[in-house]
Amino acid sequence: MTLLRHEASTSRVEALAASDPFVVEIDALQYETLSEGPCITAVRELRTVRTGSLGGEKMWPRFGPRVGRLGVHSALSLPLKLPGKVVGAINAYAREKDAFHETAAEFGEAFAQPAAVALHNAHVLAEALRLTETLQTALARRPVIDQAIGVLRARSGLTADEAFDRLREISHREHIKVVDVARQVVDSAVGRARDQHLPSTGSDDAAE
Amino acid sequence: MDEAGQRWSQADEANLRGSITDLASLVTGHWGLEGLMEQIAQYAVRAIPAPRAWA
Repeated sequence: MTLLRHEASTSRVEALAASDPFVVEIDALQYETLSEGPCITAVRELRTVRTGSLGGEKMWPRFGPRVGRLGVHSALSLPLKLPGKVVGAINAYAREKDAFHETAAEFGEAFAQPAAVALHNAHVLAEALRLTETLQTALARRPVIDQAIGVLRARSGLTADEAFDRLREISHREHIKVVDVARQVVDSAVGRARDQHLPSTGSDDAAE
Repeated sequence: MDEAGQRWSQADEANLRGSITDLASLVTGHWGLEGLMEQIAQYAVRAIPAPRAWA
């Protein structure tokens, strides 16, 4: 049994879970080596695919005999469907011929419906978490970059876009992250300002 | 499945119902994407009536 995730935008299929390492080999053969097989047909045609004699299957003239020689003769591929798209597939393989009856496909389809929803929800959550992390990182970096842009504009009269381009140029040239360049610009400006405005010890004494 | 392989036994149906119930009770965020897929694969093994020799 393998569970695959299908990326509709790129047509990429990724095997993410398998009940036995042996079936991973079959899926690799199907997706990476031959680009044909029951699961590919199931995903492309949005239908359950069931076969009981892979070795003699004319639909997959390269995949069938190869897997048949491995001693696997039956396959049941169930697309994980949501309205308008396929989010993955469940594949079951068996060594014996005609292992999966029509009713096995019906049970598989009944299970595939909630499985598709669960998989889609997990994918949406993973994407949301990734986006949140990216935005949090951007938010944390933004203030110091804005401050550096202000410093550069005050020094040279650049526009905000020109100042940001200047930061990026330095980042590229020095192989330093933009946020680190910005931090250096701000720290340098603050350091100079403090040096200029520090009251001297002598004048303080005199004032007292 | 019965001897003819054409009808489901009560045990088969109970397995399917159990798998779907377990699937519904999974907490997506707890398992993560890959962990959840492994769980789904395990439940699918139980949901689909097993032939004599799974690969």
